[in-house]
Amino acid sequence: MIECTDVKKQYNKTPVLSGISFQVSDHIIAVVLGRSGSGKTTLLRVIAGLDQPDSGTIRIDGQVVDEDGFHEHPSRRGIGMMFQTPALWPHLTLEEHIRYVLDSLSKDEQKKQVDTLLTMTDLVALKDRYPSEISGGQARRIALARALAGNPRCLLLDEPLINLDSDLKDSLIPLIREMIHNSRAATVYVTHDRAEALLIGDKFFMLENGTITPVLREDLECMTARSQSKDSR
Amino acid sequence: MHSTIHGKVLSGRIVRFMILLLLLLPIILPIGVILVLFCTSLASGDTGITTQLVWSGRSGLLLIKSTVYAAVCALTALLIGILYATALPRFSRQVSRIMIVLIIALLPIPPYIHALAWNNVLSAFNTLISGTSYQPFALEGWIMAWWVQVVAFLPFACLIGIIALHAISRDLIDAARVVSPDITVLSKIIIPISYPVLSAGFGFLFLLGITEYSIPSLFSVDTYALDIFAAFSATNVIAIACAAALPLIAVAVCVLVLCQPGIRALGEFPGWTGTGSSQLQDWPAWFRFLQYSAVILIVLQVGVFIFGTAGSIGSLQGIGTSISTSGREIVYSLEIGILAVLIGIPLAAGIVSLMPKGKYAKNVFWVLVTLSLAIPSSLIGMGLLTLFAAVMIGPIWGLLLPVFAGIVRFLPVAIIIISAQVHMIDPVLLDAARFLGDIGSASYRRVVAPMIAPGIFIAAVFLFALTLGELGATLLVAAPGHQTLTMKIYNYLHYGSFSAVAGLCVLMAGITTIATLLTMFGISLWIKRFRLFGSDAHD
Repeated sequence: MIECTDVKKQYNKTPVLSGISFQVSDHIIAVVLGRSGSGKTTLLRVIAGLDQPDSGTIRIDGQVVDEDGFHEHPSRRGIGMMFQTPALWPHLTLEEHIRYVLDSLSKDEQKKQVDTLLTMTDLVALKDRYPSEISGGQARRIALARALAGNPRCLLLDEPLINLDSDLKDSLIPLIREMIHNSRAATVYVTHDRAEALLIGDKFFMLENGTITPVLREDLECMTARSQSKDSR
Repeated sequence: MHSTIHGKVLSGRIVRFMILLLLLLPIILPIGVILVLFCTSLASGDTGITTQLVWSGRSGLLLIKSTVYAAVCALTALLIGILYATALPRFSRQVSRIMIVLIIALLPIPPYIHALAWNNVLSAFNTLISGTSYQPFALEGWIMAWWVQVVAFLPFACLIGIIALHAISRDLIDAARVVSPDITVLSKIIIPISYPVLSAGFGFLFLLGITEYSIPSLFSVDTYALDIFAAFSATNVIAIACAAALPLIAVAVCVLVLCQPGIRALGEFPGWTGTGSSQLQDWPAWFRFLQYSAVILIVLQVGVFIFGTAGSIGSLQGIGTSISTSGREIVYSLEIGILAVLIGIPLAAGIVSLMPKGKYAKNVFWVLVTLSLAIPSSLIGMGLLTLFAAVMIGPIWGLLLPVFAGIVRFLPVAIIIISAQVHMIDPVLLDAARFLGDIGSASYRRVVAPMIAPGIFIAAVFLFALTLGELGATLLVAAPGHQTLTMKIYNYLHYGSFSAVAGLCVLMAGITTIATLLTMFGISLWIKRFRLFGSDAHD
């Protein structure tokens, strides 16, 4: 479970998060929607520990990871993360990307998990390739496999399908949903695309002016239908 | 129709290639002349050369010693540089800025000034402990030469460390940070990804270490580069010096070729503005100890420089006396430095603008551009002497030859800096500028010039400072009866006249440091004026 309580963060004296409070239970995919510059990425980075909040409390599985100056290193929070870019390391093969995450496990355990993740993402045949030798869709799949390796307690996905064509998006959305549900992690999925949000999410939030508010699926569907009809006119 | 277009494209390429070759001539020609001279003498069966070509045990051992010396110096400096770069985020933004300014200010100070400073400080320390049971520091030998060479390399090594760490996209580092501790991120992600830049840095320091002899000779250490100079001094035959230099050139060229991917990466890498490594702050205790040691070493170096040079003058009157008795040398040095910039920078900018696009052509381009880094400085001086022997009469050549010595030796550095600045610009911006007019048109220049200007300024100050401190080649080509400030300081140092030379060292360091700081200030104003780099605010 991820719990944020009154989390605040500002950059260069401009408030980006002004007292964010929300929680996401295990097995649930919470989608955070918001316009560009609304602070979606900042929220994920703060939960991940890549940035430190100015104030507030963040708990992961009931354990405090950020509070009153205490700041747990990202690697000790038990998280998996996907970024807006695949963020693949150019000097490692696809298999090595997953092995890097599983460094603390025994060789046998590593092999078992690597095989499972590569099979699920349909990348077994490409395991010895380098990032420069694979396509955009394959890059997103290995990034997903890496985020899920090591069974993280929570998953953070920052617009992982941005800049992909609609066919590729359509093929990746079911895979992402299935793999996340199998992992049982509490998931925060950030996007500005309402249609994508409806396909992926179980629970929805809107981030605006530094504050977060829950949104019902039905309301989101109405909003999406309205904007689609406006577009078609 | 098709063949006409193809013909026009081909002739355009040939013209570009010919202009590029023409611009590269100042670098290639002196090296080519030495090679031709050597080959001609070899073909004529000159016994002096064939004797020199037979490798003696002493030469072999000296080459091995010089190679190991240069490699160890470069590696030590680079390791300290990486530690220093990783330590910067530990401090506040203001303090880390001061720390960067500190190394940039130290960067152009010629190595022999560091030698003088350490010599003075350690001599004072030896005097201090003379009454005790402690052994005094040996002020001669390999260890002392290694130490001073390392501290002389440090500013450059720190800069390479900072560039290497900042050249990686933030996402790549963040993706690793969420699953592993910072020390693992550094060793398994950052260092391997920035390996090309680090290898180029190592290569550059190694080449400086193996082709230069100023620091080892001041600590009575014989190196292969010094032997080449001695071979020329003893015979006055360039071909013999060239024969003596062949093994060293072979080693240097091997290193240069091995570092080519790194040099290309330095000159063509687009991601200089990544800031991901600034997040790394969670280090184990042993690593923190090493980081602080690196920072203390740089601060110590500044302290040693101040006490070792300025401290030994005694008073402001000392500096005044040094300046008043060196008026000619100061003017001569400044003329050489300024002319090197005025000729070298347009040359470097022209070469960068004509950089070929094909992969193979680019490889050849970078080998040609960096070739002079692998040639011992004294050999470059001999090449220039031979090249201009016929016309070298009159004061103009006495001034121009040291200028060319600086250009041949250090133009590669200026080219790498300008090329890096050009590649830092988003290609989309350049394409957008092309809608305003052809490359070279006034409207194109108005858009592109402000973006390239910082690189031009930095390259200019590097070329100026490095030319001012050049010794190996200038020693051979300076006009009779004239000497540069560097030559005067070096001669004084050899006579052991430390107090007389301290004022000149302060003056020399002052000129280069003020030029550097003014350039940095100018660049920061320029960046603010044109808002060249956006903020890294998050979505």
